[in-house]
Amino acid sequence: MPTVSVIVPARNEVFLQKTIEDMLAKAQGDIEVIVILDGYWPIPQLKDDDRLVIIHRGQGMGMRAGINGAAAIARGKFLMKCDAHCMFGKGYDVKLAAECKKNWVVVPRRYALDPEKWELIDNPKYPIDYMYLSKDLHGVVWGEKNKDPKLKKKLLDETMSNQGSVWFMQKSYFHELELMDEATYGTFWNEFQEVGFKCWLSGGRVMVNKKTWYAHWHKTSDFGRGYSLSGSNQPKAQAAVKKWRKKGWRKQTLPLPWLVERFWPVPSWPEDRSKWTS
Amino acid sequence: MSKLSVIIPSRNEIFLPNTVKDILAKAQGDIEVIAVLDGYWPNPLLEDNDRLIVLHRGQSMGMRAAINGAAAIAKGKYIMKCDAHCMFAPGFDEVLKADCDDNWIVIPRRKRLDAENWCIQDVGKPDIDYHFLGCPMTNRDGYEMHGGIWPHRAVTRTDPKYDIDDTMSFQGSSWFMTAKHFNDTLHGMSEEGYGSFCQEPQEIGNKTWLSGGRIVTNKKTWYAHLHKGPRYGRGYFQDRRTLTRGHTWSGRHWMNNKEPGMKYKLEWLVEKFWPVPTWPEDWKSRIDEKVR
Repeated sequence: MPTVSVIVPARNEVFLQKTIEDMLAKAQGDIEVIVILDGYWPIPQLKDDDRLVIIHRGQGMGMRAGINGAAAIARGKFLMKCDAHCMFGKGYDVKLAAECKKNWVVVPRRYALDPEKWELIDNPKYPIDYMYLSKDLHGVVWGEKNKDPKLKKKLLDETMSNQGSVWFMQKSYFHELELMDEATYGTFWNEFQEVGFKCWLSGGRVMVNKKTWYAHWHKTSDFGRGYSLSGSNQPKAQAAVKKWRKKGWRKQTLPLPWLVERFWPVPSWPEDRSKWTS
Repeated sequence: MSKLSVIIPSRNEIFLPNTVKDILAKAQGDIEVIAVLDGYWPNPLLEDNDRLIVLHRGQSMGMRAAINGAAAIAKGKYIMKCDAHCMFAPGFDEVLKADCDDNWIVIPRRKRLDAENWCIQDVGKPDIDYHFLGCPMTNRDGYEMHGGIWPHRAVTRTDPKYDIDDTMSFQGSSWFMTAKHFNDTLHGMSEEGYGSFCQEPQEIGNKTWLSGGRIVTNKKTWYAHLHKGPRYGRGYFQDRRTLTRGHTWSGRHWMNNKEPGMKYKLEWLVEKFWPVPTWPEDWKSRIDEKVR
């Protein structure tokens, strides 16, 4: 039985095969990779592997439905969701599983990937360990914290937000957080707002594990869009995110200001606390 | 209308494309077909369809795991499992939905399929509506509870009032039920003891009858299942020893009422259908026969 089930939602992804091969090669524990081919077949076909499971949908259903379908058949104790254009550090699976409490969402350190050369891009903005949620509730790279030499030594730390391209958690926690909620958030947008808010504000922790890393496609060249944004209902997602200023979810136990206070001072948030929930 | 999810576990099945196409063409209500390609790719690939989901496993995990996996992603209020070599009557889905309570298993009337010509094969025998469960103590090959076709029950129950009628068992090549029954009462297919493949109707059928549910045959619609004649290669199979182990485990399990959470004992089921072919009058005093 696999320990980690990796979920890769894919829609017209040029680097899917490379991503799969990379994950299979770099894993040191028992994993399975579940790919959702959302309304398309890659050309050429994906290479067969004993550890690869494919769900192909004749009609694209969107990112959230794809993740949910894969989670429903996942056999691992842990789930890792990953975009279809990512490269990983050796033993990422074992290192992430080693430090993942039952109410944690863990993300590895992030680098920039040149997907054509399949190598890291040397960019002064990276590595990215920390992101914050801005006053308008967007995830933003926290440059100051990422460059802080003292924080660099802290190999496991809390992070206020994340990009959403890779996240890791126990499967039981995925279900406890009622992920992914397509009815409320629509098919695509604000994935990590949903994950991060639900986790932080119901007593969990979003953690960055710097002992391992992944590299995410740094958009230098255009290879077309994966998931289609038309009909993905961004206003619906924005409305759902906005609700977190008051109450975002029935299992919520902590208010949004608690999270801001925990990471205070957070860029873009005013000193005047009375303005935080407006 | 409520959605039906059709689950087709498949392992090297040459008639899978025909089966998928047939179901998509014959269904009249909202439907999705989930084809499980268990460790292989058909050549050519299945024709794309908006209502088709393909679940491909790099490594075959067997029939029960295939059914469970497909059921886990199924979105229908109803699920139907069928073998990858079956043809259906037009509108089968709506007819089956019309008579299916929450805790029922519904089996359509079964005909014989000439798969090469994709038509019903007339072999001069009646359609099949009823199966019985055989008595393990009188079974010649070991302590095994096998299903058998029950023609006598069919001839005595031809009146239209029996169009929806109790059946003790079924073949297993196709069954229909609510997803709720599959998930909440059956808790999916169990590999414990049975292994990955054998005794599918015994498992889900006995769990259904003995938990207070019902298995019915529905004579108002039909499916046709590949009539064994020429060989078409092997789909799912297991070696004889593995099968015997699963059969024997299942026989003992049910005869000794080992299934947890049941409302009735097996005795209740045998009496309900009494007299049942292969069961002797004194069967109760012989339960322990051949057990060791």
